[in-house]
Amino acid sequence: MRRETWLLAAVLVFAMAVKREDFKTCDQATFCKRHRSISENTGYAVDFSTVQHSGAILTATLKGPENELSLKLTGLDGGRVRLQIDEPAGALRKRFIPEFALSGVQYEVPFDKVDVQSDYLTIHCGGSKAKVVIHQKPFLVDIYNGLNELVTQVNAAGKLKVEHFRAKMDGQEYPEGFWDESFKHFRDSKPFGSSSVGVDVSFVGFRHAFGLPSHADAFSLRSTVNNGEPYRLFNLDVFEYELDNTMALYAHVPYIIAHKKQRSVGFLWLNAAETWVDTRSSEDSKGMFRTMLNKVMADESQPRFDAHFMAEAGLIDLFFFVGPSSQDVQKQMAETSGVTPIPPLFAIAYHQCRWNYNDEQDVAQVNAGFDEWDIPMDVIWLDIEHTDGKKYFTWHPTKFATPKKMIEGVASKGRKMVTIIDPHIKRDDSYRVNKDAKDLGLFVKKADGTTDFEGHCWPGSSEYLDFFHPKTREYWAQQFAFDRYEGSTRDLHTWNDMNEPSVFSGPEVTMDRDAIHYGGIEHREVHNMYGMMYTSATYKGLVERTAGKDRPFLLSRAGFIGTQRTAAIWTGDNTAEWGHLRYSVPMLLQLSVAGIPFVGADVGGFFGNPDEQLLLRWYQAGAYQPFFRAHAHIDTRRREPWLFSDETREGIRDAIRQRYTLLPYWYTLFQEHNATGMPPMRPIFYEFPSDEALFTEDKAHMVGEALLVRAVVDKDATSVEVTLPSGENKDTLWYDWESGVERPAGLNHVDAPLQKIPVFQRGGTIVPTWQRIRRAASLMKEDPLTLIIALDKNGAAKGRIYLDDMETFDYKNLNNFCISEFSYATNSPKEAKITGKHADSNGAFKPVNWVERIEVRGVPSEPSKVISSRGLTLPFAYDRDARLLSIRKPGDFAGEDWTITLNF
Amino acid sequence: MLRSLLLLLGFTVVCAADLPRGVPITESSFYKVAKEFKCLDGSLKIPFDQVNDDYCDCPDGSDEPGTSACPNGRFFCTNDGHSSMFIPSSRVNDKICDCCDGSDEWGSGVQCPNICHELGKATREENERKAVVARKGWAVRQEMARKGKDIKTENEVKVGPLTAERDDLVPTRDELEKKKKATEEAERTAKDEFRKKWEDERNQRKRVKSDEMFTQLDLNADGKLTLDDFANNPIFDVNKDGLVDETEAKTFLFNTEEADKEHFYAQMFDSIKIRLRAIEDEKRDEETDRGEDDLLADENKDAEEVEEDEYEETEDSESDEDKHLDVPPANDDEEYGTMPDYPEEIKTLSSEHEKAREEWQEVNSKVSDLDRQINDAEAYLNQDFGNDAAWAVLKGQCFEYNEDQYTYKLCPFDKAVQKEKNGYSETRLGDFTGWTGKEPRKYSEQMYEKGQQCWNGPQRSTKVIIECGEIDELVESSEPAKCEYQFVFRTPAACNNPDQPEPVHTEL
Repeated sequence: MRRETWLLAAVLVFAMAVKREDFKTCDQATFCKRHRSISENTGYAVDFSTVQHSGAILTATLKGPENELSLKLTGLDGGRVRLQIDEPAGALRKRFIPEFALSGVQYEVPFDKVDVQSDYLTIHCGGSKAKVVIHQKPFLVDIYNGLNELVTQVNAAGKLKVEHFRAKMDGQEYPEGFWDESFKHFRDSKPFGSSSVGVDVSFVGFRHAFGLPSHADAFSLRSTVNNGEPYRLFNLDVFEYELDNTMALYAHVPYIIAHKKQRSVGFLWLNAAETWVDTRSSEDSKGMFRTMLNKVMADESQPRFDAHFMAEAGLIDLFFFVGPSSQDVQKQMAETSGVTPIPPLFAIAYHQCRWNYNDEQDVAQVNAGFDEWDIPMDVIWLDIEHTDGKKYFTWHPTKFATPKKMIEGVASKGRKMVTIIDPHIKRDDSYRVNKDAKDLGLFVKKADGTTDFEGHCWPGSSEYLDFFHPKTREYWAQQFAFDRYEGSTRDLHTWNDMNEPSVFSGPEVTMDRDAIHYGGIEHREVHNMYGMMYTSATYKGLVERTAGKDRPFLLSRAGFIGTQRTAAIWTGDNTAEWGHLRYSVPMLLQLSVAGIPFVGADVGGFFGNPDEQLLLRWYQAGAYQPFFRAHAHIDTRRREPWLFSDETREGIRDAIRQRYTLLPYWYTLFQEHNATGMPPMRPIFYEFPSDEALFTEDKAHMVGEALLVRAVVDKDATSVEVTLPSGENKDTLWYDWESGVERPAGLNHVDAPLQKIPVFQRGGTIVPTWQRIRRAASLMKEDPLTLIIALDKNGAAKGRIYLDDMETFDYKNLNNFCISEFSYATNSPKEAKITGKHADSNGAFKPVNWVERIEVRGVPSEPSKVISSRGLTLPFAYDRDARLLSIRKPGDFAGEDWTITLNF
Repeated sequence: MLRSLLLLLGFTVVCAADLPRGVPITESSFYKVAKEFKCLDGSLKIPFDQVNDDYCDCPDGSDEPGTSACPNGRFFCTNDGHSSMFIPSSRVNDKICDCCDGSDEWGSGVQCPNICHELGKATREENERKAVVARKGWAVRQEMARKGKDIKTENEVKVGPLTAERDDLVPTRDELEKKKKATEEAERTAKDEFRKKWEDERNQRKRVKSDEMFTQLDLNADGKLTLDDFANNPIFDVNKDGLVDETEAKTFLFNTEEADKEHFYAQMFDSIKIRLRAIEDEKRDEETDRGEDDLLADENKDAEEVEEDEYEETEDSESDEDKHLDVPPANDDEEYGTMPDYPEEIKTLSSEHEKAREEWQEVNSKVSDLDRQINDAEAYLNQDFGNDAAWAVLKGQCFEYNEDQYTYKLCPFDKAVQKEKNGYSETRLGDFTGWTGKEPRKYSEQMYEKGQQCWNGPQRSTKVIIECGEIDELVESSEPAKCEYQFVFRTPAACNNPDQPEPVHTEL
């Protein structure tokens, strides 16, 4: 969120810039420096006499000049391979595996066959989904996809390095910082010594790679080798972060997806410690890792993307997703780390936030203001000032004296509220949570393992709950019970902030690495997953408070592999500048491809005061991003939409209304994500895997398969240039989303006056919409639908809708859902049919939504007659110039089977 | 009251039957049952049975007054017993009761009770309560207006004589100012001349001393001071190692190779004296405890300047010069003497100037005082104190409001202030900048701006919302955004006559 009183000094140097010197460079992290400087193969070889395999597992010993390591290869279902490299049995200390970050059981599929040759092994994974070749000396692993194409290599450059646990010996020389390390005035005692790990992974044949969220940088990963700092993945509370930068931010997923024409491949580094990734895209084999390349690669001119992963602790635990398509990779990642439950409808509508709404009266006025100006809004948020002295689960005694009444007032208009709940617990014996946690021993401990760790955060001196302790998770979850969290109701949801964790008084504004968690785990081993453990406990509490009935909404700032299973995340404390608006798109794409789909950036920019143009453009972009929330720092001016000019207010209203129009589509996309892993907001190459010129595009993005969005993100722009992909067969048609007028594929100059959001519908798609925009989304659930059909070259289109009660888990527990598929087919020049079909017979939900209107785009001629399922002649209107057909009141229900016939 | 209510009820009941749902009686003529309905914007004609058929045909939404089908439509609640109103069509059948008569939820399954009578009653009571306040306030306002007018008149009356008096004085003042300037000039010229003469004399003496010292230092008497001359002179053995090494010697030559008499006088003499004195002081220190002289010398030098002074000591070192020195080359270095008193003729000029200045000042301050009085009076005349000048009474008064931690103070037409309750300091929340209410309610809001700068924020400002009240009081203070305050101020000056209401602006 932000820091005020504590970092006065930081703000006084008011250059609106991060204090770089507060954060480590690779050179200042001694393990990173050691790994990054490896220039020759570290010399590991597989001891073939140790190779054993059975079922889905193969093990072997690696021998190197430094030490011996054990290798374990596991074949997983769905085209996934897991490779672990650890110290052999009998190591001084067990390395931490963040299993909790995974979605649950990782299903193993026995190998089809293992061939042992003189100097390599070939492992044929189950169902011919993948193949792995392990070379004996030097140690090298080749991964092939199901089409038998080499896609990934491990240790091609020989950077494998594992610093094994050892006893400190007097007189022995150790590398710099091995037993003790200092940064600024902070000392990190390293009682177990350095246990860092690193290895290089290459995507063979791939020029472009994406992921490694979250960095305020382009979507397409840059080359960092010999070119500045590697990507740093270490969850931090970074004050006023900078753009075009590989510095660490709040949330990180050590995951890369590489893409080339028609092929994608994914790679996950399952490690919760601080990780650095040194990257390089090279056009030919004379790249970073040339030594090994000549041997293994026949085609000298092949591009490749190399990534050297280096982590401070943990083991080498690698997941390979072989694709072959982006959709496949996304599904493989989803199977590994899980998906976001379908959010309740209000959560994907518009959120109104500010640090802070001052009191209950203020909340009531904001609530009324949206009605007065007829602007839809679903959630009002309360930041830290709502509490009594920053003690979470409490309310300010005078400003928020009757919280239940306040929430009920907001809820009476169909809206919800969110309060902030952070993981730092004010040190105050009279504060129940602190006392309980102290009594039960639920706090993180100092390096001595017994004293509670103490640091400064919003309340001043605070202690930090240890969410690795099962009792802490249990205790925490209980706090959300309605009788425990006084003033809460089922209309109150939660925001978990500062969970990197942020410790104002700590090194790099976070927790000391030698702090101790449950089971004697050092903080350094688990740092990046602290926030995820926290949100998972909160989520559990939110689910349990209604005995599993209601779907909760939870927002988190920190994030890691698996965060998506319990929380949405946002890009943290951005700034009201055009660059930050511009970078919201690549930052959200990074997260989306890495498996976290419910993501957003603070609309308007958190720090500073946006001018009206910037604010309006930000609303327009935000309306087409998954999590849509306006938020502002306490030092900024008020920003409720009606405080601006008529033009700006109307523009904001229109942008929000566009969002509400598309809610049935967004909702369906979140269900699609839940089923397949596909993120609602996706890069263009996910939908157009052959349009090479658009692989690195990160101003435009797709929302689902149907809409291409190119919001205006440049100051004073009155038009945008956007390339509409032509698709594999160069025949994709496009339509302006608002007007329905056709647009040619290829480069388009599109007028974008202040009120315009450039959005395009892809030919061949059907988008379900709501055209009756009410003051809150929950009030629209039962409203009739308008289907927007855009025809492709063959006069065909298809689409779907997912419906349920949009607020409970009945869809899951009682199969109370409905999926309908729509299609438009031109059967002959004389006839076309529009059909609706109930598509999943398991679904028991009977929607009351009927189809009030069908708009068809790209209809070549005026129909002579339109006949409904029931044989009625339906009125229609046809616009010859724009080739638009509008069918009046077909009247069929979304969940039923129906056919409309068009005669020409 | 009861009768008019019944009348209203009867009226609407009669007409409602013929009207499509959601249409006000005033628009009944557009919705007469016929074969066709013409959209109110004239853009389209549709079959009449498509009115309120839950499908939006008209671009202006006029065909669906009773359903939620049109995104830009509106629904009319009759609200018998209370105020009728339009609501956006999107609030029809959204399961939330918007109309007090419940008519908006006719098909959502939600039973909305008709609460118009209670609401109407409550509103009427509230209005009556307000009217009582307004009536009392209105009476006070009349009084304020009278006083306000008096204040205005008073000031109007004042301005003329004050201006006349001032204009009378101005020529005298200008005359006296000229005289003051002339005597000032005469005094200055005479003094400058005298001082210049004295300085010339003094410099001549100084030159003689300088030449003497030069000769003494020029050990080899070659008319030049070189390193050798210093190297052989034990006085310059600063570090007392028995030797005057090149570094030591060089510092005395101030980085030139050699110096003739001219150069010595211009660049070195003053500094060398200082240096010699320092050496002398040191010697004395060793012999006796520190005396006054050293303390004085220390005081004259800022700690930081010490080093610099050694090289660049100029005129103000003279005050140090009168200290005796036993070091031979410097021992005859004595005061050049201080400037003698100004002679009588100059002293006369001085007293003439002083007299002229006093005379001018007396008249000038009278003029300034008149200017201030005129300004004050004009401020009253130019200030917008409302249509009847009732607000003029409030200028010069202050009103306070106490909160937990702070006391807020409003001084109308002047400033807004925040005081810490147990503290002394005041924070200015803005100075009056004007009326900012939107017409026709201009006098319902004032702005106070350019207050104290907020840390990491804007300059504080305060918006004052003005309401009718029986007495003048500050009743509320809040800070909707950081450093943007909002006060609510009640005053009879904002009360209108409730028994003679302004023309009603219907929201229809």
